[in-house]
Amino acid sequence: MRRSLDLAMVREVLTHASYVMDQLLRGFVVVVCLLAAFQSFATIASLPYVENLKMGSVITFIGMLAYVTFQMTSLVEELGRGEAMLYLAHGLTKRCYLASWILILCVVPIVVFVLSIVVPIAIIAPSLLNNVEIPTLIAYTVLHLATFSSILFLLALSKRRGLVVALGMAMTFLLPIALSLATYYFTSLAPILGIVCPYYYYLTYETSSKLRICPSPPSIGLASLVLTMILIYACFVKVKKLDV
Amino acid sequence: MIEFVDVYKVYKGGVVALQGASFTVPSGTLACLLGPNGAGKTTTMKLIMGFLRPSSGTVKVWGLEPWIYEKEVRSRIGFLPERPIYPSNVRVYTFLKHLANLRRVPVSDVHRVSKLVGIEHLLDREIKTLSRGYVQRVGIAQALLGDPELLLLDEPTANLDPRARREILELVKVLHRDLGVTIIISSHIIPELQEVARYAIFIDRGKVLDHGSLEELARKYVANAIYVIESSRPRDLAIELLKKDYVRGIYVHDDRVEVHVDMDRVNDLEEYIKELAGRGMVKSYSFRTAYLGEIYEKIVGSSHG
Repeated sequence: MRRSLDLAMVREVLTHASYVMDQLLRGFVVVVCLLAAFQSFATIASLPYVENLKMGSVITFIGMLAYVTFQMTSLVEELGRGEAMLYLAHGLTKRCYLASWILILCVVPIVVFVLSIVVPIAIIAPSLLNNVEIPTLIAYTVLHLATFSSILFLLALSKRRGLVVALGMAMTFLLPIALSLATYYFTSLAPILGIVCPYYYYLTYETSSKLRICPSPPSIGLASLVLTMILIYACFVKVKKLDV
Repeated sequence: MIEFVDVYKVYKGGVVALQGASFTVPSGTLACLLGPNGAGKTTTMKLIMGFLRPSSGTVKVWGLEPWIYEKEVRSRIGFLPERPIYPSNVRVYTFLKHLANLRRVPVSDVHRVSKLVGIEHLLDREIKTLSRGYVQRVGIAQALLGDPELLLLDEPTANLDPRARREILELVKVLHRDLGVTIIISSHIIPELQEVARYAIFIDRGKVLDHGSLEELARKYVANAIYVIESSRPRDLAIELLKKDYVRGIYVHDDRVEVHVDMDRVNDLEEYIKELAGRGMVKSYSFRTAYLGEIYEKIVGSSHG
């Protein structure tokens, strides 16, 4: 009984996610093409060093964060104008509704971004895949994207489009600058910022000796993971109480 | 079927949408939820759907609380939202097919409901290219997917031109007559509801002023009852009826005679109509509900004063 219930929920989530994905497809195809082109170029340009690849992927990573922010506004608008009601009226539960958006704006971008790193390397320089730096790089980007989108999800559920865009853009473009400044002037602040941007923290930690007195990237990554789990749990609690 | 017991709904910010609302809607009726803008009609609809949780009180639909048993309740309800909130860039067919998938009904149902509401030739069009009347039909089509037992239509004729309004109301009547669905329509346009409704819930500023079948409400608030009699000899029939002292007025329209009678003499009139039917003067007759507007005025008047 429980299993069939879970399978039914998975089916609902996938059904709705694929429908929404169809609507967002145009923008998504552009993002995937740009990612593929950029990452291939970055891979070729950085050979044979992984260090350069890490820096090169920052640009595509920022692009992905901006894309997630932009698409998050689709969720806010859908909730704001009441379109969500239509889907809920046909048996989709609020939790499945949220889960389908998490799939679209968190899981899919993560998978696409990871593939955009791995596939060009596998084609252009397969030997680099054995380098331990690559899984580390992937792990931090995955954590960063998950934390980023879970923060935005919580804001999106309050139906405040302006806040989602402002905070999304700030976390995309200003946070790296803030982290660099914190590294030099308010070092104790850097790990706190690092929790919401573990990938930036990892890169900064690798390049700046000032952060050596701060917690290591794995500790920050763990804190980030806990924060993400709390935020996603909060999203599911909030969506259950949401007035649509 | 639907039961509200002392329901309060207070939104964030302290806006009180419902204040101690209590009413019932029996199964099989075509009921209207009548009240001015901001009376709490949409909130009532959303509470029935389980989209909102009552701040206090109990809402039950088929004995289940919709907020808790959201899936069980919603799977048996078709809902037309107040505003046209459909995704504009999606084709009608894609949209309806997705909702059919969510509801777990076969895709063939999309064709059935499209035909029923007269949009089968528009399935390949994007929703944004449709007129408001047709968008509303798409809304009704989605509400009919899966043969719901209860239809909730929130302001189904809002923002439509007179022709589209008439078409939608005709459609509602046909759905009730042919499919036997229980329907609740919310509106503030009394003449429209007069045409279709047989049961009414009067709501104003979050309070349910009264509810019941129009016959009951008419007996309670209105002096005269109205009968519509179909006859092959309407003028002769009118002359016969005028002889009775309890008849307050007679209007002849083609082959129909509209008779206004004292509410407490309804039974006498019915007896007499049966007698006239035996003499071949009456083809059929029906108790026409009193004018909804009149009942509304009386109810609002008594609540205000």
